[in-house]
Amino acid sequence: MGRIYRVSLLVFVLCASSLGPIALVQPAARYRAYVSNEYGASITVIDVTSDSVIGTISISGRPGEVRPRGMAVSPDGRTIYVALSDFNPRVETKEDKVVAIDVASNRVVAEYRVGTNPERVALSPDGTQLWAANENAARATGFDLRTGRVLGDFQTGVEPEGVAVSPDGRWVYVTGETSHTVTVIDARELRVLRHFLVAQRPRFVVFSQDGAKAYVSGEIGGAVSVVDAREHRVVQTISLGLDSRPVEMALSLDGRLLFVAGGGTSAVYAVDTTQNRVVRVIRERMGRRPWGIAITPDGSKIYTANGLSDSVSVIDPTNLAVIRSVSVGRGPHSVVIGVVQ
Amino acid sequence: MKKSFVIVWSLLLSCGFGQVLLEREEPLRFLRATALLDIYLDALPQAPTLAPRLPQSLALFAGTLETRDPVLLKRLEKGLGEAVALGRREDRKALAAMVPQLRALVGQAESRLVPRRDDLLLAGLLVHLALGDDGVAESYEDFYKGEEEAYRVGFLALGRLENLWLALRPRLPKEAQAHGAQALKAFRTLYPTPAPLTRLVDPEDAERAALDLVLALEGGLGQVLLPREVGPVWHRIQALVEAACRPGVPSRLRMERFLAASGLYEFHLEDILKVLDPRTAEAFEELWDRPDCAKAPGLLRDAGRILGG
Repeated sequence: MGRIYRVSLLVFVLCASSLGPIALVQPAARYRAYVSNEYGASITVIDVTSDSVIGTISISGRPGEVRPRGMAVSPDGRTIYVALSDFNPRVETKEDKVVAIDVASNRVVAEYRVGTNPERVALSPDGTQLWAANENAARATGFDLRTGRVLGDFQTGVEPEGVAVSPDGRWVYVTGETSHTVTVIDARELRVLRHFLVAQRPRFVVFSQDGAKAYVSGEIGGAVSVVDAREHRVVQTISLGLDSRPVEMALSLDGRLLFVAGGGTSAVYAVDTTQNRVVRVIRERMGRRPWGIAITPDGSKIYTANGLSDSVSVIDPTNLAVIRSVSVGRGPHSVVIGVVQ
Repeated sequence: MKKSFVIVWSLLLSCGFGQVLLEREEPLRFLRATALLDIYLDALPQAPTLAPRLPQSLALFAGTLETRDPVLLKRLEKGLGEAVALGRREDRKALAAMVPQLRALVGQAESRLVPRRDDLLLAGLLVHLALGDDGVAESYEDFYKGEEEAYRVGFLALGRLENLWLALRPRLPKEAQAHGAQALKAFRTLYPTPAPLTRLVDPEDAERAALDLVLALEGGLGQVLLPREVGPVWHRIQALVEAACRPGVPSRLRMERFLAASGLYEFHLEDILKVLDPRTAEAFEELWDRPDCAKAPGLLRDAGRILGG
């Protein structure tokens, strides 16, 4: 009996230790999906556990005049940054700014001026720098969140949109939609290093977790450019089909799968990054024109923002199938995941 | 019977005519130029300031028309010249009186330049009218920037675009038809009336609708209409410039080919070169302003190197 007890105790201890200390001593993080509604001037908040809408944050009382588009999340997941602008991209107005939303309270807690017409934003991995693509100005603006000052604004390709910071914080990549280029900004020396050509109409960029590669979606090219992020050059192009119109992308936690939102075909493409080829196309039950896509920090769910069906599709990454659809505001543009501890 | 036609059509498409805008550049240029002339003439009595655009469009085919029907070219040149003069004086009544005759001449020129129009040419023209200079999306952007007459141009271009779509629609699968119809609906919300509305939307909406339409057409036809690589565009520009600079080429034809090359450059390569090598981009601007057969080859080589060709 005593031996059985000791063996049971040993099994329990081994099992418990395999769960890891976080699972034992801390409550699980709760996630919230934030969806920017471009034509509704609002952010829809979805509880990731139940996939139910738990709130709508009004960004402006003037829907159709002020639009939230690209978003970024702080490294701890507790703050969401939303790029806002009006529908007059030619001039800088008071509506052109980035707002910070506190995930715990779902309130706007800060505003930052980052130049005219910001379309997408990115955070440095340490959370101290905010980078914005200023679409109509062909510039990108760096902003120091500690000092509240602009670090500099830099010439980019034409109609900059996608922006991302490398995991080591050194490089900022900005896509130029009509010049089909990526601009490399050295975030340490605050200067433009170079520009290089990618698949046509680049819309979004994401770095691999180790910083060795970057993936750039080309909407008209119907492809994803694989970039050697140390040499800053395209090493391969993954074709998704000319009608795919890829926009946002998200990497799985292990980096082996790249999920690409295909707005043209209303599909999500799962790309095996070890072979750089499409291994699955998720179409069934997808909403129309998915442009935004995000994966939860624990990798348990994928969300797409479906611009033409005013909905979010929830995808199970295990069997790569849509498991749910959630109604959100008008013209969903992007989706990101915030963390509530 | 209908199904077999669709299969044969698909096979024909899949085995030829990749990148229609480049491979059929010449007839497409003629169709686009005559379509724009027709639009300008249509708009002229209400918008006489459009008159200076008439000779620009004529120059895109004048050299070729001179070789095929010099008499018709002379009549057209004379008529358009008179329209420009009337436009300068803003003599709307006289313009309205002469427009029907001029439009008939433009129609004749089109028949001489492009005797047969197949569906791929119509599709290529649709792409130009949706995305190109003075097309529906670009005109909306120009209007947004303050060019009042651009709205009228865009409105009339949309009418032609809708007719082209109606002609092509039966060839397309249902899904492409639905996507195209949605794009045209989006265009109509931008151009709801012949006269402009005061409330404007972001011109990116127009560009988005144009892309929706073009990509629906590509998907539906199973055909690459828009070039996706810079190399073939650069090669076409090079070929046009070489053809322009051959010894003995008449001056009108030389100018026509340079204009064709500059049009392709502006549509496909200008933004790229301005970012990758602004100096070369500047040199190209000078070249298109003052065509120079001595400078062109070196400049094209530079561009090829920069673009990785």
